[in-house]
Amino acid sequence: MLRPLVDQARKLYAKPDAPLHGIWPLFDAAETFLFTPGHTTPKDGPHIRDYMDLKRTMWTVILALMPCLLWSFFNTGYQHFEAVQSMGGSTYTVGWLQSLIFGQSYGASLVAREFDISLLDQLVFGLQRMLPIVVVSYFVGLNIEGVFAVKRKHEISEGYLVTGMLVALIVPASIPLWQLALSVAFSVILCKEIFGGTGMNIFNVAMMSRAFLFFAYPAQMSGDAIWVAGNDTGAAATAVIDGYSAPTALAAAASANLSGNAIDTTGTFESAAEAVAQQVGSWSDLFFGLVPGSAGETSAFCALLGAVLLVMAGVGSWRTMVGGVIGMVALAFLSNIAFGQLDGIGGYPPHWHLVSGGFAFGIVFMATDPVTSPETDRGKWIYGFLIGAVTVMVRWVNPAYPEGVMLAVLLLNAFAPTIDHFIVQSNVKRRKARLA
Amino acid sequence: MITHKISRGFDIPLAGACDRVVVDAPTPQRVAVEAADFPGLKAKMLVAEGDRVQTGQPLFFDKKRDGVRLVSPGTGKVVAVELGARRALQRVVIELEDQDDYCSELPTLDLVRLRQGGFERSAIVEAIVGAGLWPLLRQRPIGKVADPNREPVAVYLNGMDTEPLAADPSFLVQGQSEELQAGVDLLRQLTSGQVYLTVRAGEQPKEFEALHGVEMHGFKGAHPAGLVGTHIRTIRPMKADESAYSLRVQDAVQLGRWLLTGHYPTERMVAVVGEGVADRRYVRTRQGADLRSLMGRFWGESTRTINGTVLSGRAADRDGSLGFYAQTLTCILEGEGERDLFGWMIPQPNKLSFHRAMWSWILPRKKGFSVDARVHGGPRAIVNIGAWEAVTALDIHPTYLVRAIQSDDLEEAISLGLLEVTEEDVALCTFVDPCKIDVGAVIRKGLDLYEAEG
Repeated sequence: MLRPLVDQARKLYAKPDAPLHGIWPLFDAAETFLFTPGHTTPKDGPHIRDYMDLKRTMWTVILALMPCLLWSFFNTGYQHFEAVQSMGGSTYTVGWLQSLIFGQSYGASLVAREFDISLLDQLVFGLQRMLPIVVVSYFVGLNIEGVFAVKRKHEISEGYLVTGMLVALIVPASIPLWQLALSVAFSVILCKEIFGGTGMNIFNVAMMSRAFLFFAYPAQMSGDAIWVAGNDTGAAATAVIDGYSAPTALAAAASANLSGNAIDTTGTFESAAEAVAQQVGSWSDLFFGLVPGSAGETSAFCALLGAVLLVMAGVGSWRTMVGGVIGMVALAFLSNIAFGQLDGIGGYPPHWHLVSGGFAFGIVFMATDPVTSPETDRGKWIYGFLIGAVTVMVRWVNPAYPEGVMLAVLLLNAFAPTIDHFIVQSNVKRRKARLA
Repeated sequence: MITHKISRGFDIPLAGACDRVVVDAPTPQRVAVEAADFPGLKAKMLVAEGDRVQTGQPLFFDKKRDGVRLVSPGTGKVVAVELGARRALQRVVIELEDQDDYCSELPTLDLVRLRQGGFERSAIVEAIVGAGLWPLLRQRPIGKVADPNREPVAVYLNGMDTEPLAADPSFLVQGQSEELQAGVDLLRQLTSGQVYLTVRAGEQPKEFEALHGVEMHGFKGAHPAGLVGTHIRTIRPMKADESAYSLRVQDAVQLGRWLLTGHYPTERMVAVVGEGVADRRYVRTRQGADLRSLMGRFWGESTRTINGTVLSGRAADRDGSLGFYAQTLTCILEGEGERDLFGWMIPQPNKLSFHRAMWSWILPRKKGFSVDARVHGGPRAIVNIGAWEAVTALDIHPTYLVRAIQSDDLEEAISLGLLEVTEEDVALCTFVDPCKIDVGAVIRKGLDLYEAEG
């Protein structure tokens, strides 16, 4: 039924002298979104091809991101109402989706029932924050991709399908949308398109947009106290949530004042883990992600679900992931032994490191980006290991910014070609020895 | 026998295997020699349209390969000498007479004297070239017809084929021990090195077992375990400036038959396979037979007929003929213009794929998958999810090799192992690639560059 319509529309674009041929890549993208292409293999060379294409590769990653996305809907709402409850208050500003679903009297009714909220309330709030973020991320990114594809007369590559979702999940839910749009535009144009588009970029595009936000708007993005999203809509609103901030686990660990500390014996906590457990949440809270943080990366459990799908589907490299976990555990052990009693995060145990901050999300979805990671198997081990190790190092050494996975991934992106170079050179040397 | 295990690769589970039954095809009316079987050939014609040729009479020779010639696979009238762009030869078509009239000038070698080592290498080469059988020998590196002037360090005689639906070499040579032995005795005189016979591990038909003068190597594992590139890499990797000859056991049988009969061997046995054809059997026919006579009435219009396998074969025209090397004739559906709604998104348990993201691996099927010739995606830049590496059995890094060739860096490409591969070794990479890059074409471009720069 759809086919005749599409075939009819195709005539407007397909031929070089057709009226809309100039934007053929856009039509092609829409058409191949609906229907797989029908062209056949050349007369020479392999006559059959795998049914898998880049669209499905990206789609598989998006499926793997679904647990994290769904979790972000819930946790954003959960954290919001936790904050609202803890701060009390007699008013509640209603957001756009809340008023759409529950009506304008929703705020009053919430106050009336003393913020006794249900899962539905949490999900509606989470959607209210997350939907605009997802929409803005895709809208800005895909439009830029479209413009470049038309200019270059290429087919639109599917890379941004994943990047758009990643960006939405690694920013705090409280982010102003204009900042998000700016960061997406920055990273897509300057970190991808000027290198030639998907497959040519050196740095992970989603991580670059996060880094852009971090360095351009540190007030909103610093990792030590992520803002919990509220309905704050400018100066006129007297939002309860304004001014509330909750420490992340890593910030709590980094600033933990330990009683056993040789320098300061007046501390209040036995260990960094205990400081986190009392101020933020238990290990299982961290594992399942019931803590404040960037929208989609709080839950190590959801990242793990995604990892299982990625590895089973053969799209994500298990070598990178396992290497990352080993690197993190190894360095955390080292820091435990070396600085356990002196420094808060130095004594933070490895299994807490794994579930804190964005590490789980980063190693599963960011580090395994096939374009910016090494391509050799041994290279992936080294690369993963170093990301884990550098993450712990940043957390440990840099008191101003305890979250390290972003910097670790970007740093190792820069070194990925070098890692590969050495492994490829060993192959070249082996061949030389054989040929001589 | 020494056994080697190849751990990387993929056996494409294709539907349409053929029965191990041999039937005689109807006698073809025409036979042809097609230039496309010999890449890089620069033909100098020795016959013209209208000439009568005898079986074994030279048709043309290659100006680039020291007079390597192709002879007529039948007796009759040359009805067409088709030229293509820049007057390059496409094919020579011969309308057959009822009886073979064998060319008396075909050189031959006395087998007893040959076995005693009574011939110079040059005399042997000259005889094979003169008999029109030299193109059976192919050369590594490069993977084209062998250079008669270059003595190989080894000869690889391939007794296995792991390509999808390929004819079983041990079945093709069944009952031809004498011819095979004669062929091997000839090959041994071409090199001062070894003649290696490579077979599927655990499978030793009596034709192979009784063979003298070869070193037998067994290979197990998925495709490309049966490719000569894999065998060379595993048995005896070549040093700089070395080269090796490669041929298949059925080619050795042809050489043997020539030695034993003194005639040009015209008979070919071909496996007709693939879902595009109803009658799937081994067919006995003549070299270069026209496909119409071979395929009969069950030949659908929307069928792609491939001289060879789906991985390394060449699609034939409707009025085409059986290829010089073809031992398998694969028929698959063309499928052009067919489009699947949301095909990339929904799980596709019925579609053939190497990748587990397709979810067809959950329900493996014994009979294999139905396929057509569609590409299933648009071309993209390399996004490496490790698929090329997973199906490459050679000690190379395929993505780095491809990038070096794409940037015309020949020196780098050679240091990355360009001379260890030909397009058939990377055919699986092309098959599995989600970015739909024709890896074989890139490799061939690199090899052409190497040949051009000498």
